[in-house]
Formats: sequence, C-alpha cells, structure tokens
Amino acid sequence: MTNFEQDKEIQELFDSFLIETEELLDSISSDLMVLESNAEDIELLNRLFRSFHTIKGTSSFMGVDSMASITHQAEDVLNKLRRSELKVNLNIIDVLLEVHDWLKLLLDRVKARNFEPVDYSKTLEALAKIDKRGGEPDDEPQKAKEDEQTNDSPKTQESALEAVLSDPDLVKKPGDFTQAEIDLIDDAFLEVNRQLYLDVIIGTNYVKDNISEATEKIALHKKDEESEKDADEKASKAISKSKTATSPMQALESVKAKEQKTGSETIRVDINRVEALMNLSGELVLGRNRISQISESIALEGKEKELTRELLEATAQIDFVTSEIQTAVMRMRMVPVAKLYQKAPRMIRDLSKEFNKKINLVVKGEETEIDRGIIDELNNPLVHLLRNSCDHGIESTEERLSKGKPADGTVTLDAEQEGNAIVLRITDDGKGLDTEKILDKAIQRELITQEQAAQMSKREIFQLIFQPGFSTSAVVTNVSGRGVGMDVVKTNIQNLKGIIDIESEEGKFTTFIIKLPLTLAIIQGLLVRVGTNAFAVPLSSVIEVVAFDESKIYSINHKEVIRLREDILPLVRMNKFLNLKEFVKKNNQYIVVVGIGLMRVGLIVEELLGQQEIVIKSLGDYLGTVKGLAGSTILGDGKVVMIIDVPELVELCFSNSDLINFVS
Amino acid sequence: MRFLVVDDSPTMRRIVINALKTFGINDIVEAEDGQDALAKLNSSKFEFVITDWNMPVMTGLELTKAIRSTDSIKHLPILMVTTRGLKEDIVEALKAKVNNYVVKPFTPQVLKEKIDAILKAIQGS
Repeated sequence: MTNFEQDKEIQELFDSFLIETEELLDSISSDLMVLESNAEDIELLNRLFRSFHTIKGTSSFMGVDSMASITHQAEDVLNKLRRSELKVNLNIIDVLLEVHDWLKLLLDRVKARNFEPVDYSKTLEALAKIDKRGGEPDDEPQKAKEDEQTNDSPKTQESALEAVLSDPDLVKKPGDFTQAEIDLIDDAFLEVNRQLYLDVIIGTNYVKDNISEATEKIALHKKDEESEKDADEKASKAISKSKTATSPMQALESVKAKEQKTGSETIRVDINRVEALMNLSGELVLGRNRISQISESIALEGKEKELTRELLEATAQIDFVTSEIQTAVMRMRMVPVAKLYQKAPRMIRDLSKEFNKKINLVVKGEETEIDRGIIDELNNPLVHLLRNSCDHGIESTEERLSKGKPADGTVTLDAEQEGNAIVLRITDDGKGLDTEKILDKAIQRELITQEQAAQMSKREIFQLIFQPGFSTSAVVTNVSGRGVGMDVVKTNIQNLKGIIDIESEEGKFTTFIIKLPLTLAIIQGLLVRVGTNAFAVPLSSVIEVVAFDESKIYSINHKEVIRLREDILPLVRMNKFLNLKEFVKKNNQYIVVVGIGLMRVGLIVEELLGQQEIVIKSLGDYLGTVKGLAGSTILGDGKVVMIIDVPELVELCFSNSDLINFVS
Repeated sequence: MRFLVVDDSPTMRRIVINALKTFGINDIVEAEDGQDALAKLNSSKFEFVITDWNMPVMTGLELTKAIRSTDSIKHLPILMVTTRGLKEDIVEALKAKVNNYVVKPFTPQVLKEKIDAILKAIQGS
C-alpha cells in the first residue's frame, strides 16, 4: 500500500471514529435520561454498557487514552448495574452524565486534533466511590455460569488446557500474566485447535472442503441452487439451535432485532458524496428547465409538428424523472427531528436544577424529517429557546400553585411538516409574554419611540424581543447562554431561510414557532420583471399578487402605502430599491405581496414572468452579501437572475431604512 | 481466504479490515452482530471468523458456541478480538473453543501472529 493510500485510510478511520463516537454519546445521553425512570430496564443497561464499551475499544485504538481510561471506569459501574450489584440512583446517573460530558469535550478536542488530556480526576473519584459501594467483581452468578460450562466441556482435555482451566490461581490472581502463563495459555489454545481439527481426517472434512472448493467451482450453477436450499435448511436449523441455546428472553429479542433489521436497512455514506449528488441534481434541474424552455419555443414555431410532439413528450418525461431524482436525493439528506430533540431531555433536566423549578418535557413529532444541514444549524437556537422557556417562561412552583396551575411546568417540543415547510414549536405553559413590559423595555432601550409603540400590533410587539440589544440577561450561564440574546436566534433562523414567530397569552403560554424550508438548495420562485431585469421572489414568502393603480397610493409617515382590503400595506418600489430606471409604463403594474410572520410588504414590479423551480447559488465572494438579495440562479434560457431576500427586505422596510424609498 | 469480521462498531471493523488488507487478505465480509454473522455463514462459505465479544443481539461468545455446535461450520477458525482482557474472560473463551484470543488494542503484527498460529494449527492436523 502506498503512503498516500495509508494516509487516506487513516483519515477515513479517524472520521469513522468521530462519527460513531458522537452517535454513541448521543445515545448514551438519551439512554441515561430514560434510565432515571426505568432503573430496572436490563436492555437499557446493556445498551449503555455496550456504548461505553465500544468507545473504550475504539478510543484506545485511536490512541486517545484520556477517553479510554474514563470510559473504562464508567463501563465498570455499568457492568455492576447490569449485574444488579449496584442499584441505579440519581447520583450514579449524575456521575455518568458527567463522564458523558467529559467524553464529549474530549471528542471535540480530538476533532480539533488536540490530544492533550483534561483534568477529570473529580469525576474519576466519584466513579471510584460508586464502584466501591458495589460488590466484588467475582460474584456468585459468574461462578455458577462457569461451573455449568465446565460440565459441558469434553473430557478429552490434555495437559495445557486442563492446566489453565483447573488452575484457580491463574485466573484469580490480579495483574498481568507472566511469560510462563502466557505460554501456558497459548498452549491451551493450541490444544483447543488440535481438538477441533482432530476429526478432520476422519469426519466432516472442513479443510479439505475448502481446498477442493476452488476446483469444483467450474461445475457450479446447478449445485449452487442445491446449496442454497441446503443453506436455507442450515439457517433454520442454526436459528432453532441458537434459540434453544439461549434463554427464551434472548430468543425473543433476537427475533425482534431481526424484524427491525428488515424494517429499515441503512448504509453509511460520506456526507460529501450526498452533497455532490445534491449539487449535480441541482444542475440537472437547471438543464431540465432549459430543455423545457427550448422545446416550448420550438413548439411555438409550429414546424415539424410530429417531431415537436415527440420532443415535448421526451421533455415531459425528463421533467418527471428529474423531479423524482431531486426528491430522492433530498430525502437522502433528511434526518428525523429526533436527532435535534434528543438533546432536550438532558437540557431540561439541567435547567430545572439550575432554576430550581420542576419542568416536564413533552416531545411530539420527532419522526418528522428535515434536511441534515438545517438540523445542525438549529442546535444553538433550540438550546437558547429552551433556556428562555425555562428561565423566563415557566414560573416558580409557588407562583404556579398560587395561580392555580399544576406545580410542574411543561415544555413541549413539536414538529410537523406543513406543505413545503417544516414547523417546529417550542411551547411553555408559563406566564406568557407581557406586552406592556416589552414595550417599556424597548422604549427604555431606545429601540422604538413612544409614538411607534402606540401603533404596534401584538405580533409586532412580540417581534421586538428579537431585536439586537433587547435581551436583558447579559449574564453568562453554564447551560447554554453565552450572553447572546434572542436576536442571534432570529439571525440563525433567517440564515436558514426560515422565519420565527411567537404566539403567547399572558398567564397561559408562550409558543415559539420556527418555520423552515424543507431544503436549502432548491426553491419555487416567482419570476418578476423590473425594468429590463428579471428577479426571482421565493414563492414561499409570496402571499398574493394584485394589480393596482398609481392613483390608489397614499403616503403615511413619508412612506408609500396602499389600502388592500382592510389593511394598510407598505410598498417598496423595486426599481428604486434596486437602483434601476423608472418603469416605462405607469399602468398595469403589479404588487407582489410578501410576508414574514404577520408583517406584509408590497413589492411593485412591472411584469409577472411566471413560476419556476430555482436552484439557489450564492453570489460568490467577489459580490459578498448584497442587502436585499439572497443569491442568484440560472434560468432555462441561460440568463442569470437575482433572488430577492424577502426577510431582509421586510426588515429594511419596517426599520425605516434609507434603502427603502421615501416620498420626497 | 474469505474472512468474516464481526463487530458492532463500524470503526472496529474498519481497524480489523485495514489490518487484514495489509496482510494481503482482501476477501472480507462484515457482520454487525452474532446473529448477522450466523446468517452470513449460513448463506455463503467462509474460511475464517474474527469476532468481537460484546455485541447486541448475539455476543461473540454465543456466536462461537453456535458455530461449534453446527456441524457444517463447526471447524471454522474463530479469532476473538475483544477488550475483555481479564483472565476469567480468556478462560471462558477457551471453553467456548475459540481458536485464539486477541485483546484490544492490538497491533496488526499481533493480529497476524494469531491468525498465522491458527492457520498453522489447522494445517498441522
């Protein structure tokens, strides 16, 4: 193997270790949370034991001794728990959670290629204390098991094997083996081998079978079928045997496991490959758009009718298949929201402790699937929102009781798919948002004026808490808060092309609603013309399109508005906003009404060009971020079109930015 | 030679497989627990099994016992690769009649020595 190949394999191995350990840590964390209420669940204890066990094995291989040694201690404790030598209690779970946290920290450091050890001696001490309270390692059940097996073993044992098996000192003596003992054990294994293959010469000829197999391969086809049948028989035999060999419980479990396996088999694929496939399918969409456009114009020309019809048919087929491929690839990137929500139980537990409140967690719709890239970016916002609910939402036990509410607060996490969007809801049954207080604070912090405050709707007031500089708690706390406010949450969500909204009723509840696109890469766009240029408006934020008349425009507070049914709609002249020329014709213009949450803005455009699936491409480094533009895309005819950033535009509009036109 | 590598940890399987490949062994099939291994052993032919001990569904020890009690495959060489390095563990593995035993972490060299030792024992008989 070349050096390069070796390096690559090591890198792959390293990556695999990181991914696997992270998954195991996640499962340890959620298992530990469940363990609190399911202390007797032996299957749970076994799984926890195996998780630690695997981390111990792989980390020692990767040379991360700091991980291996603490895992080793934790594994000992779990071993005692599952052998019922120890009883699960809160202290044990706390310490094991500590171990989990250390491992997570170490793993993060390993990720950054930092192999320095950390000082977890306190946790080790705590583990050792737990360990001591447990029984001796060589306990009764173990012995009984060994005795049982001695009876099974054949009587034809010869010296070395006999010596190992019958020498209690060799087994019970602590410490490493001496060379003599190692030799003895090696001899013992040799004995086993010899016994195993003793009957090779006489009976069922395993080794010979293998040698002659190669020569027999030629005459195979027919035989294959037979051996398959044979294999089936063997399989059922083996299974029935293994069933009788183990306890009924185990047999049941193995059947269960088998069922699960057939349910959904998975393979691990490098995320970069999926990413590449995603990009390619995006390009495919572009190509498809182009073909459809070309075939449509050919059809319009009306020549070669038969050929045109065939072309249209073929195009329709490609159209269909492309959409299917696109969905399939998208689904490859989808993971259940459970992956995001699984960290919540631990957080709620820690937060209840920190704030000394009793808080229950209810999780719904965890099976809802969402783009993996989005999940990763949602972690921090979720942490922040949960923290917010527990800190500011849920009241103290006394306060709750005095209000006639149940003593324990409840935080609910919910997820569901609504059309092309995923909606996440974080609800607490706490005191709700106090609009007066919010307004006072916003005025005090000079985010709004008294006059503005008087005109604001309930929803607009709620949105104030997302303003930079609104958040009060600048104190850095240990669970999540790094002194960042809700504005960061909103920015995170907006970066994901999502929106965040609040519903709340004073004294009853507060719900944060996060609405996200199913995927980041491909969206439905409404193409509009402004001057000579076409622009795309993401269809997800388009509420409606109306034709209008210049004469219906009023101005309020130096801003152009129009009355749309009973609402006043602020307007943005897209040509001014984008620094383009005046529209040529003054009549027959359109207003594209776009909205974020309940905020609505009308964009004045010259013409509607149609609806199209567009693949978002970034503007590239040389353009950087341009206010009001989310990116670009390529149309079927090869033209590059800019995509309007609706959330940003709406924000600019409501923040009285100079970028939005004023009536002079 | 066709090898079956049984371990519930993909990383561990990879470590073992990488080592095997450096010895020039490339015909390798993976299984993620004892039961998966048994199914694979029953559907095609293998010359060597390298198995972990602690696995969900069916442990390496149970797998060994199952192999040893199935006539058609009972002579299959089995190398146990495990973190269980206690003497009593080794004795238990001996009783179950694994051909040899490697304690993790191991160097590829040790793995090769153990495999060679087992193959030699088979040819010697």
